[in-house]
Amino acid sequence: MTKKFTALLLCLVLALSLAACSDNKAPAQETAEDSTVQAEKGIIRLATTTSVNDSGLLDSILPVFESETGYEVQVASAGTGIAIGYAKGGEADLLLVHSKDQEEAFIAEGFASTERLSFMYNYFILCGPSDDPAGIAGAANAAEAFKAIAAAKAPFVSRGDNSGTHNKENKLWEAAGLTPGEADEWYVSVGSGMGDTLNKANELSAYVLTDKATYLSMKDSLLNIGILMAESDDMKNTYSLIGVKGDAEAFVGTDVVINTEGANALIDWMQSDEAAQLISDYGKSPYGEQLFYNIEK
Amino acid sequence: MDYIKQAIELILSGNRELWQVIKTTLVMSVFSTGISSLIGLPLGVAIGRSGFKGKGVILRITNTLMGLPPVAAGLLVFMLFRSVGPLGSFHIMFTVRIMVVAQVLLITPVITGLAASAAGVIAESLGETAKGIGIKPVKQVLLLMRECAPQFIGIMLVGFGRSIAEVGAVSLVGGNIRFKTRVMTTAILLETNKGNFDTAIALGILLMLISFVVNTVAYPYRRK
Repeated sequence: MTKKFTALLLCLVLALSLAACSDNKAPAQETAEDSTVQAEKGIIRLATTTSVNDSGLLDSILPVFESETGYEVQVASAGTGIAIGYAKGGEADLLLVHSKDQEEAFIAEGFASTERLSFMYNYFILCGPSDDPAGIAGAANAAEAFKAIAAAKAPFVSRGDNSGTHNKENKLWEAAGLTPGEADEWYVSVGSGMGDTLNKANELSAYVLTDKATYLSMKDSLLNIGILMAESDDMKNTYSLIGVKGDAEAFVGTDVVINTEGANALIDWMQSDEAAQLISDYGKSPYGEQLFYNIEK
Repeated sequence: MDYIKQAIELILSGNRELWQVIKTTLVMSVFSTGISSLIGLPLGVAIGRSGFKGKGVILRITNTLMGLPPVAAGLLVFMLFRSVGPLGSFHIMFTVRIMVVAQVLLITPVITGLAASAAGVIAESLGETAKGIGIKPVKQVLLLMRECAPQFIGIMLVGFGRSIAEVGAVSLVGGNIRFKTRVMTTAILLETNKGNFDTAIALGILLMLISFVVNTVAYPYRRK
Protein backbone atom coordinates (compact mmCIF):
# COMPACT_ATOMS: atom_id res chain seq x y z
CA MET A 1 0.00 0.00 0.00
CA THR A 2 2.69 2.42 1.09
CA LYS A 3 4.87 1.45 -1.87
CA LYS A 4 2.06 1.96 -4.34
CA PHE A 5 1.31 5.34 -2.85
CA THR A 6 4.96 6.36 -2.98
CA ALA A 7 5.18 5.31 -6.62
CA LEU A 8 2.07 7.30 -7.42
CA LEU A 9 3.41 10.32 -5.63
CA LEU A 10 6.74 10.07 -7.43
CA CYS A 11 4.96 9.85 -10.79
CA LEU A 12 2.96 12.93 -9.94
CA VAL A 13 6.03 14.88 -8.88
CA LEU A 14 7.86 13.79 -12.03
CA ALA A 15 4.93 14.78 -14.26
CA LEU A 16 4.65 18.12 -12.52
CA SER A 17 8.34 18.85 -12.79
CA LEU A 18 8.36 17.87 -16.46
CA ALA A 19 5.43 20.15 -17.10
CA ALA A 20 7.16 22.91 -15.17
CA CYS A 21 10.39 22.41 -17.12
CA SER A 22 8.74 22.56 -20.50
CA ASP A 23 6.88 25.69 -19.47
CA ASN A 24 10.04 27.32 -18.26
CA LYS A 25 12.16 26.39 -21.21
CA ALA A 26 9.94 27.87 -23.86
CA PRO A 27 10.36 31.53 -22.89
CA ALA A 28 14.03 31.00 -22.05
CA GLN A 29 14.71 29.68 -25.54
CA GLU A 30 12.77 32.52 -27.05
CA THR A 31 14.87 35.10 -25.26
CA ALA A 32 18.05 33.31 -26.29
CA GLU A 33 16.94 33.39 -29.91
CA ASP A 34 15.90 36.99 -29.61
CA SER A 35 19.28 38.05 -28.40
CA THR A 36 21.07 36.21 -31.22
CA VAL A 37 18.91 37.84 -33.90
CA GLN A 38 19.27 41.13 -32.11
CA ALA A 39 19.62 44.46 -33.08
CA GLU A 40 22.40 45.62 -35.30
CA LYS A 41 21.47 49.04 -34.05
CA GLY A 42 20.92 48.36 -30.39
CA ILE A 43 18.12 48.05 -27.93
CA ILE A 44 15.33 50.54 -27.23
CA ARG A 45 13.76 50.21 -23.80
CA LEU A 46 10.09 51.17 -23.82
CA ALA A 47 8.22 51.48 -20.52
CA THR A 48 4.48 51.32 -20.94
CA THR A 49 1.24 50.64 -19.14
CA THR A 50 -0.31 47.24 -18.73
CA SER A 51 -3.40 48.30 -20.67
CA VAL A 52 -1.40 48.87 -23.86
CA ASN A 53 0.71 45.79 -23.45
CA ASP A 54 -2.12 43.46 -22.42
CA SER A 55 -4.14 44.49 -25.46
CA GLY A 56 -1.45 42.91 -27.65
CA LEU A 57 -1.04 46.09 -29.73
CA LEU A 58 2.71 46.37 -29.25
CA ASP A 59 3.35 42.69 -29.96
CA SER A 60 1.48 43.23 -33.18
CA ILE A 61 3.11 46.43 -34.46
CA LEU A 62 6.63 46.55 -32.98
CA PRO A 63 8.05 43.63 -35.03
CA VAL A 64 7.36 45.73 -38.14
CA PHE A 65 9.40 48.59 -36.70
CA GLU A 66 12.17 46.22 -35.63
CA SER A 67 12.55 44.56 -39.02
CA GLU A 68 12.49 47.92 -40.81
CA THR A 69 15.02 49.67 -38.62
CA GLY A 70 17.18 46.96 -37.06
CA TYR A 71 16.45 48.13 -33.52
CA GLU A 72 15.21 45.74 -30.88
CA VAL A 73 12.47 47.07 -28.60
CA GLN A 74 12.27 45.74 -25.06
CA VAL A 75 8.90 46.45 -23.50
CA ALA A 76 8.52 46.77 -19.73
CA SER A 77 4.86 46.94 -18.84
CA ALA A 78 3.50 48.15 -15.52
CA GLY A 79 1.02 50.70 -14.23
CA THR A 80 1.69 54.26 -15.38
CA GLY A 81 3.11 55.07 -11.93
CA ILE A 82 5.82 52.42 -12.02
CA ALA A 83 6.46 52.91 -15.75
CA ILE A 84 7.34 56.52 -14.99
CA GLY A 85 9.34 55.25 -12.00
CA TYR A 86 11.38 53.08 -14.38
CA ALA A 87 12.05 56.06 -16.62
CA LYS A 88 13.11 58.23 -13.68
CA GLY A 89 15.57 55.53 -12.67
CA GLY A 90 17.13 55.51 -16.13
CA GLU A 91 15.63 52.11 -16.93
CA ALA A 92 13.72 53.26 -20.00
CA ASP A 93 14.52 55.22 -23.16
CA LEU A 94 10.95 56.29 -23.74
CA LEU A 95 7.49 56.12 -22.23
CA LEU A 96 4.12 55.22 -23.70
CA VAL A 97 1.58 56.18 -21.06
CA HIS A 98 -1.88 57.67 -20.58
CA SER A 99 -1.99 59.98 -17.61
CA LYS A 100 -1.66 63.63 -18.55
CA ASP A 101 -0.98 64.98 -15.05
CA GLN A 102 1.72 62.44 -14.30
CA GLU A 103 3.27 62.99 -17.74
CA GLU A 104 3.35 66.74 -17.21
CA ALA A 105 4.95 66.27 -13.79
CA PHE A 106 7.57 64.02 -15.39
CA ILE A 107 8.35 66.72 -17.94
CA ALA A 108 8.38 69.47 -15.29
CA GLU A 109 10.94 67.49 -13.29
CA GLY A 110 13.28 67.69 -16.27
CA PHE A 111 13.28 64.04 -17.34
CA ALA A 112 11.90 64.46 -20.86
CA SER A 113 13.90 64.86 -24.06
CA THR A 114 10.80 65.44 -26.18
CA GLU A 115 7.43 67.10 -25.95
CA ARG A 116 4.53 64.97 -24.82
CA LEU A 117 3.35 63.50 -28.11
CA SER A 118 -0.28 62.38 -27.95
CA PHE A 119 -0.61 59.98 -30.86
CA MET A 120 -3.56 57.69 -30.24
CA TYR A 121 -6.66 57.37 -28.09
CA ASN A 122 -9.49 55.06 -27.22
CA TYR A 123 -12.30 55.07 -24.71
CA PHE A 124 -12.61 53.85 -21.18
CA ILE A 125 -15.77 51.90 -20.58
CA LEU A 126 -17.92 51.54 -17.50
CA CYS A 127 -18.81 47.95 -16.69
CA GLY A 128 -21.18 46.66 -14.06
CA PRO A 129 -23.74 44.03 -13.15
CA SER A 130 -26.28 43.48 -15.91
CA ASP A 131 -29.26 44.30 -13.63
CA ASP A 132 -27.65 47.77 -13.22
CA PRO A 133 -28.85 48.50 -9.65
CA ALA A 134 -27.74 52.16 -9.86
CA GLY A 135 -29.48 52.62 -13.20
CA ILE A 136 -26.51 54.17 -15.00
CA ALA A 137 -27.36 52.88 -18.46
CA GLY A 138 -29.37 56.02 -19.30
CA ALA A 139 -26.87 58.50 -17.80
CA ALA A 140 -25.70 61.35 -20.05
CA ASN A 141 -22.02 60.83 -19.29
CA ALA A 142 -19.63 59.08 -16.94
CA ALA A 143 -19.75 61.77 -14.25
CA GLU A 144 -23.55 61.42 -14.09
CA ALA A 145 -23.18 57.64 -13.93
CA PHE A 146 -20.71 57.99 -11.04
CA LYS A 147 -23.21 60.18 -9.18
CA ALA A 148 -25.88 57.52 -9.64
CA ILE A 149 -23.57 54.78 -8.36
CA ALA A 150 -22.70 56.80 -5.26
CA ALA A 151 -26.36 57.67 -4.64
CA ALA A 152 -27.34 54.00 -4.84
CA LYS A 153 -24.31 53.01 -2.75
CA ALA A 154 -23.79 50.26 -5.31
CA PRO A 155 -20.41 48.49 -5.05
CA PHE A 156 -17.71 50.12 -7.16
CA VAL A 157 -14.23 48.64 -7.53
CA SER A 158 -11.36 51.09 -7.99
CA ARG A 159 -7.85 50.31 -9.27
CA GLY A 160 -6.49 52.47 -6.43
CA ASP A 161 -2.94 52.08 -7.76
CA ASN A 162 -2.14 55.54 -9.08
CA SER A 163 -2.28 54.23 -12.63
CA GLY A 164 -3.56 56.15 -15.64
CA THR A 165 -6.92 54.43 -15.33
CA HIS A 166 -7.08 55.22 -11.60
CA ASN A 167 -6.29 58.87 -12.27
CA LYS A 168 -9.00 58.99 -14.90
CA GLU A 169 -11.42 57.57 -12.36
CA ASN A 170 -10.39 60.19 -9.79
CA LYS A 171 -11.03 62.92 -12.36
CA LEU A 172 -14.51 61.53 -12.97
CA TRP A 173 -15.28 61.51 -9.23
CA GLU A 174 -14.06 65.09 -9.14
CA ALA A 175 -16.34 65.97 -12.06
CA ALA A 176 -19.19 64.31 -10.17
CA GLY A 177 -18.35 66.44 -7.13
CA LEU A 178 -17.67 63.41 -4.93
CA THR A 179 -14.73 62.02 -2.99
CA PRO A 180 -15.48 58.46 -1.89
CA GLY A 181 -13.43 57.52 1.14
CA GLU A 182 -13.09 55.26 4.12
CA ALA A 183 -16.68 55.66 5.30
CA ASP A 184 -18.06 54.51 1.95
CA GLU A 185 -18.37 50.76 2.28
CA TRP A 186 -19.49 50.45 -1.33
CA TYR A 187 -16.23 51.94 -2.65
CA VAL A 188 -13.65 49.15 -2.88
CA SER A 189 -10.10 50.29 -3.61
CA VAL A 190 -8.09 47.17 -4.51
CA GLY A 191 -4.70 48.61 -5.44
CA SER A 192 -4.12 46.28 -8.33
CA GLY A 193 -3.71 45.93 -12.09
CA MET A 194 -6.58 46.10 -14.57
CA GLY A 195 -7.04 42.36 -15.06
CA ASP A 196 -7.06 41.62 -11.35
CA THR A 197 -9.40 44.56 -10.69
CA LEU A 198 -11.86 43.26 -13.30
CA ASN A 199 -11.81 39.83 -11.66
CA LYS A 200 -12.59 41.40 -8.30
CA ALA A 201 -15.40 43.52 -9.77
CA ASN A 202 -16.80 40.36 -11.31
CA GLU A 203 -16.56 38.54 -8.00
CA LEU A 204 -18.34 41.37 -6.16
CA SER A 205 -20.81 42.12 -9.01
CA ALA A 206 -19.58 45.68 -8.84
CA TYR A 207 -19.21 48.65 -11.17
CA VAL A 208 -15.74 49.25 -12.55
CA LEU A 209 -13.99 51.67 -14.90
CA THR A 210 -11.73 49.85 -17.36
CA ASP A 211 -10.02 50.22 -20.69
CA LYS A 212 -11.88 48.44 -23.44
CA ALA A 213 -9.02 46.25 -24.63
CA THR A 214 -8.42 44.57 -21.28
CA TYR A 215 -12.15 44.03 -20.79
CA LEU A 216 -12.57 42.43 -24.22
CA SER A 217 -9.57 40.17 -23.70
CA MET A 218 -11.13 38.84 -20.46
CA LYS A 219 -14.80 39.03 -21.39
CA ASP A 220 -15.35 35.27 -21.43
CA SER A 221 -14.50 34.84 -17.76
CA LEU A 222 -16.37 37.94 -16.54
CA LEU A 223 -19.81 36.42 -16.23
CA ASN A 224 -21.33 38.81 -13.68
CA ILE A 225 -20.52 42.11 -15.36
CA GLY A 226 -20.91 43.66 -18.79
CA ILE A 227 -20.43 46.97 -20.62
CA LEU A 228 -22.95 49.55 -19.41
CA MET A 229 -21.44 52.73 -20.84
CA ALA A 230 -18.98 53.21 -23.71
CA GLU A 231 -17.62 56.13 -25.69
CA SER A 232 -18.97 58.91 -23.50
CA ASP A 233 -17.14 62.17 -24.19
CA ASP A 234 -15.63 62.30 -20.74
CA MET A 235 -14.14 58.83 -21.06
CA LYS A 236 -11.56 59.51 -23.73
CA ASN A 237 -8.23 57.86 -23.02
CA THR A 238 -5.26 59.54 -24.68
CA TYR A 239 -1.91 57.79 -25.06
CA SER A 240 1.31 59.75 -25.34
CA LEU A 241 4.96 59.09 -26.11
CA ILE A 242 7.72 60.86 -24.20
CA GLY A 243 11.44 60.41 -24.78
CA VAL A 244 13.72 60.26 -21.73
CA LYS A 245 16.49 62.84 -21.46
CA GLY A 246 19.92 61.21 -21.23
CA ASP A 247 21.51 64.17 -19.45
CA ALA A 248 18.65 64.78 -17.03
CA GLU A 249 19.89 66.28 -13.78
CA ALA A 250 19.04 63.12 -11.84
CA PHE A 251 21.31 61.03 -14.09
CA VAL A 252 24.41 63.21 -13.70
CA GLY A 253 27.19 61.20 -12.11
CA THR A 254 25.42 57.88 -12.64
CA ASP A 255 26.08 55.37 -15.38
CA VAL A 256 22.66 55.77 -16.92
CA VAL A 257 22.82 55.49 -20.71
CA ILE A 258 19.75 56.53 -22.68
CA ASN A 259 19.31 55.47 -26.29
CA THR A 260 17.97 58.83 -27.43
CA GLU A 261 18.51 58.10 -31.11
CA GLY A 262 16.54 54.87 -30.86
CA ALA A 263 13.77 56.50 -28.85
CA ASN A 264 13.45 59.25 -31.45
CA ALA A 265 13.38 56.69 -34.26
CA LEU A 266 10.51 54.87 -32.57
CA ILE A 267 8.62 58.11 -31.88
CA ASP A 268 9.01 59.14 -35.53
CA TRP A 269 7.86 55.75 -36.73
CA MET A 270 4.80 55.81 -34.48
CA GLN A 271 3.69 58.98 -36.31
CA SER A 272 4.16 57.47 -39.77
CA ASP A 273 1.24 56.60 -42.04
CA GLU A 274 2.29 52.99 -41.86
CA ALA A 275 2.06 52.84 -38.06
CA ALA A 276 -1.23 54.75 -38.14
CA GLN A 277 -2.65 52.10 -40.44
CA LEU A 278 -1.38 49.25 -38.25
CA ILE A 279 -2.81 50.90 -35.12
CA SER A 280 -6.25 51.52 -36.60
CA ASP A 281 -6.41 47.99 -38.01
CA TYR A 282 -5.43 46.42 -34.71
CA GLY A 283 -8.21 44.78 -32.75
CA LYS A 284 -10.31 44.03 -35.77
CA SER A 285 -8.98 40.51 -35.97
CA PRO A 286 -8.80 39.19 -32.39
CA TYR A 287 -11.68 41.25 -30.97
CA GLY A 288 -13.78 42.11 -34.02
CA GLU A 289 -13.58 45.83 -33.39
CA GLN A 290 -11.16 48.72 -33.56
CA LEU A 291 -9.44 49.32 -30.20
CA PHE A 292 -7.20 52.33 -30.82
CA TYR A 293 -7.74 55.47 -32.90
CA ASN A 294 -5.03 57.72 -34.33
CA ILE A 295 -4.82 61.36 -33.41
CA GLU A 296 -4.46 63.33 -36.64
CA LYS A 297 -1.32 65.42 -36.77
CA MET B 1 20.01 55.74 6.47
CA ASP B 2 17.50 58.04 4.78
CA TYR B 3 15.12 55.13 4.38
CA ILE B 4 15.31 54.23 8.06
CA LYS B 5 14.67 57.86 8.92
CA GLN B 6 11.71 57.85 6.55
CA ALA B 7 10.36 54.64 8.10
CA ILE B 8 10.53 56.19 11.56
CA GLU B 9 8.91 59.39 10.32
CA LEU B 10 6.18 57.27 8.79
CA ILE B 11 5.45 55.69 12.17
CA LEU B 12 5.56 59.01 13.98
CA SER B 13 3.31 60.68 11.43
CA GLY B 14 0.38 58.90 13.08
CA ASN B 15 -1.14 58.18 9.68
CA ARG B 16 -4.44 56.43 10.38
CA GLU B 17 -4.32 54.35 7.25
CA LEU B 18 -0.89 53.05 8.21
CA TRP B 19 -2.16 52.00 11.63
CA GLN B 20 -5.05 50.18 10.00
CA VAL B 21 -2.57 48.31 7.79
CA ILE B 22 -0.38 47.40 10.78
CA LYS B 23 -3.41 46.32 12.81
CA THR B 24 -4.76 44.12 10.01
CA THR B 25 -1.30 42.61 9.53
CA LEU B 26 -1.00 41.73 13.22
CA VAL B 27 -4.56 40.43 13.57
CA MET B 28 -4.08 38.21 10.52
CA SER B 29 -0.66 36.91 11.59
CA VAL B 30 -1.56 36.33 15.24
CA PHE B 31 -4.79 34.48 14.43
CA SER B 32 -3.26 32.35 11.69
CA THR B 33 -0.24 31.47 13.82
CA GLY B 34 -2.51 30.69 16.78
CA ILE B 35 -4.87 28.43 14.85
CA SER B 36 -2.03 26.73 13.01
CA SER B 37 -0.29 26.07 16.33
CA LEU B 38 -3.40 24.59 17.88
CA ILE B 39 -3.55 22.14 14.98
CA GLY B 40 0.11 21.73 14.17
CA LEU B 41 1.80 21.40 17.54
CA PRO B 42 -0.20 18.40 18.89
CA LEU B 43 -0.28 16.84 15.43
CA GLY B 44 3.46 17.28 15.01
CA VAL B 45 4.22 15.84 18.44
CA ALA B 46 1.90 12.89 17.76
CA ILE B 47 3.66 12.19 14.46
CA GLY B 48 7.16 12.71 15.79
CA ARG B 49 6.60 10.79 18.98
CA SER B 50 7.17 7.25 17.90
CA GLY B 51 7.52 4.83 15.07
CA PHE B 52 4.26 3.76 13.49
CA LYS B 53 3.25 2.43 10.12
CA GLY B 54 3.14 5.15 7.48
CA LYS B 55 5.07 7.67 9.58
CA GLY B 56 7.63 8.16 6.83
CA VAL B 57 5.00 8.97 4.23
CA ILE B 58 3.21 11.39 6.54
CA LEU B 59 6.48 13.15 7.35
CA ARG B 60 7.37 13.41 3.68
CA ILE B 61 3.95 14.82 2.82
CA THR B 62 4.24 17.31 5.68
CA ASN B 63 7.69 18.37 4.52
CA THR B 64 6.42 18.74 0.95
CA LEU B 65 3.56 20.90 2.14
CA MET B 66 6.06 23.06 4.02
CA GLY B 67 7.16 24.15 0.58
CA LEU B 68 3.64 24.78 -0.69
CA PRO B 69 3.82 27.85 -2.93
CA PRO B 70 1.76 30.60 -1.24
CA VAL B 71 0.11 31.64 -4.49
CA ALA B 72 -1.02 28.06 -5.10
CA ALA B 73 -2.47 27.84 -1.59
CA GLY B 74 -4.17 31.19 -2.13
CA LEU B 75 -5.56 30.05 -5.44
CA LEU B 76 -6.98 26.89 -3.89
CA VAL B 77 -8.71 28.88 -1.15
CA PHE B 78 -9.87 31.42 -3.74
CA MET B 79 -11.41 28.71 -5.95
CA LEU B 80 -13.17 27.14 -2.96
CA PHE B 81 -14.60 30.30 -1.46
CA ARG B 82 -15.39 32.53 -4.43
CA SER B 83 -19.06 33.13 -4.96
CA VAL B 84 -19.39 30.46 -7.64
CA GLY B 85 -17.16 28.02 -5.72
CA PRO B 86 -18.29 25.09 -3.57
CA LEU B 87 -17.90 27.08 -0.31
CA GLY B 88 -19.15 30.34 -1.77
CA SER B 89 -22.08 30.42 0.64
CA PHE B 90 -19.69 31.42 3.44
CA HIS B 91 -19.32 34.82 1.76
CA ILE B 92 -15.87 35.51 3.19
CA MET B 93 -14.09 36.52 -0.04
CA PHE B 94 -11.94 39.64 0.45
CA THR B 95 -12.10 39.57 4.25
CA VAL B 96 -9.45 39.11 6.91
CA ARG B 97 -11.07 35.79 7.78
CA ILE B 98 -10.31 34.21 4.43
CA MET B 99 -6.76 35.51 4.65
CA VAL B 100 -6.42 33.60 7.91
CA VAL B 101 -7.82 30.47 6.21
CA ALA B 102 -5.18 30.68 3.47
CA GLN B 103 -2.43 31.36 6.00
CA VAL B 104 -3.47 28.41 8.17
CA LEU B 105 -3.18 26.20 5.10
CA LEU B 106 0.34 27.51 4.56
CA ILE B 107 1.65 27.60 8.10
CA THR B 108 0.15 24.47 9.65
CA PRO B 109 2.48 22.15 7.70
CA VAL B 110 5.48 24.26 8.75
CA ILE B 111 4.50 24.10 12.41
CA THR B 112 3.60 20.41 12.20
CA GLY B 113 6.89 19.53 10.52
CA LEU B 114 9.03 21.49 12.96
CA ALA B 115 7.09 20.14 15.97
CA ALA B 116 7.54 16.60 14.65
CA SER B 117 11.29 16.93 14.40
CA ALA B 118 11.55 18.63 17.80
CA ALA B 119 9.41 15.91 19.38
CA GLY B 120 11.37 13.18 17.62
CA VAL B 121 14.54 14.10 19.45
CA ILE B 122 13.01 14.39 22.91
CA ALA B 123 10.69 11.41 22.44
CA GLU B 124 13.59 9.06 22.01
CA SER B 125 14.81 9.57 25.54
CA LEU B 126 11.41 10.06 27.07
CA GLY B 127 9.53 7.40 25.12
CA GLU B 128 11.41 4.46 26.51
CA THR B 129 10.72 5.54 30.06
CA ALA B 130 7.06 6.25 29.34
CA LYS B 131 6.55 2.91 27.68
CA GLY B 132 8.42 1.25 30.51
CA ILE B 133 5.98 2.52 33.11
CA GLY B 134 2.96 2.00 30.85
CA ILE B 135 1.62 5.51 30.21
CA LYS B 136 -1.24 5.71 27.69
CA PRO B 137 -0.44 7.20 24.22
CA VAL B 138 -2.65 10.30 24.66
CA LYS B 139 -0.96 11.06 27.93
CA GLN B 140 2.42 10.42 26.35
CA VAL B 141 1.64 13.12 23.75
CA LEU B 142 0.59 15.58 26.45
CA LEU B 143 3.69 14.79 28.49
CA LEU B 144 5.86 15.23 25.45
CA MET B 145 4.17 18.51 24.59
CA ARG B 146 5.12 19.86 27.98
CA GLU B 147 8.69 18.76 27.43
CA CYS B 148 8.76 20.46 24.04
CA ALA B 149 7.12 23.69 25.21
CA PRO B 150 10.29 25.83 25.10
CA GLN B 151 10.80 24.83 21.47
CA PHE B 152 7.20 25.63 20.63
CA ILE B 153 7.83 29.36 21.08
CA GLY B 154 10.56 29.21 18.46
CA ILE B 155 8.39 27.15 16.13
CA MET B 156 5.48 29.56 16.50
CA LEU B 157 7.80 32.46 15.72
CA VAL B 158 8.82 30.74 12.48
CA GLY B 159 5.12 30.39 11.62
CA PHE B 160 4.50 34.01 12.56
CA GLY B 161 7.44 35.11 10.42
CA ARG B 162 6.12 33.26 7.43
CA SER B 163 2.64 34.65 8.00
CA ILE B 164 3.64 38.29 8.36
CA ALA B 165 5.93 38.20 5.32
CA GLU B 166 3.55 36.44 2.96
CA VAL B 167 2.14 38.34 0.02
CA GLY B 168 0.95 36.03 -2.79
CA ALA B 169 -1.88 34.25 -1.02
CA VAL B 170 -3.17 37.19 1.01
CA SER B 171 -3.33 39.54 -1.95
CA LEU B 172 -5.26 36.95 -3.94
CA VAL B 173 -7.90 36.04 -1.35
CA GLY B 174 -7.84 39.26 0.65
CA GLY B 175 -7.91 41.49 -2.37
CA ASN B 176 -5.59 44.16 -0.91
CA ILE B 177 -8.67 46.30 -0.25
CA ARG B 178 -7.92 49.70 1.21
CA PHE B 179 -9.10 50.23 4.82
CA LYS B 180 -10.13 46.58 4.97
CA THR B 181 -7.75 43.82 3.92
CA ARG B 182 -4.59 45.72 3.07
CA VAL B 183 -1.59 44.40 4.99
CA MET B 184 2.07 45.46 5.13
CA THR B 185 3.23 43.19 2.31
CA THR B 186 0.44 44.05 -0.10
CA ALA B 187 0.92 47.74 0.76
CA ILE B 188 4.61 47.39 -0.14
CA LEU B 189 3.67 45.74 -3.42
CA LEU B 190 1.17 48.48 -4.17
CA GLU B 191 3.57 51.33 -3.39
CA THR B 192 6.15 49.62 -5.63
CA ASN B 193 3.63 49.38 -8.44
CA LYS B 194 2.74 53.02 -7.96
CA GLY B 195 6.39 53.88 -8.45
CA ASN B 196 6.71 55.13 -4.84
CA PHE B 197 9.87 53.14 -4.21
CA ASP B 198 10.88 55.21 -1.15
CA THR B 199 7.60 54.61 0.66
CA ALA B 200 7.79 50.92 -0.27
CA ILE B 201 11.26 50.58 1.26
CA ALA B 202 10.17 52.49 4.37
CA LEU B 203 7.21 50.11 4.77
CA GLY B 204 9.58 47.16 4.34
CA ILE B 205 11.80 48.46 7.12
CA LEU B 206 8.73 49.03 9.28
CA LEU B 207 7.67 45.40 8.70
CA MET B 208 11.11 44.24 9.85
CA LEU B 209 10.82 46.44 12.93
CA ILE B 210 7.46 44.89 13.80
CA SER B 211 8.95 41.42 13.40
CA PHE B 212 11.86 42.45 15.60
CA VAL B 213 9.55 43.70 18.35
CA VAL B 214 7.50 40.49 18.29
CA ASN B 215 10.67 38.40 18.46
CA THR B 216 12.03 40.53 21.29
CA VAL B 217 8.86 40.07 23.31
CA ALA B 218 8.97 36.30 22.79
CA TYR B 219 12.73 35.96 23.29
CA PRO B 220 12.84 35.41 27.07
CA TYR B 221 10.42 32.48 26.75
CA ARG B 222 12.44 30.48 24.27
CA ARG B 223 14.95 28.46 26.21
CA LYS B 224 17.50 25.95 24.94
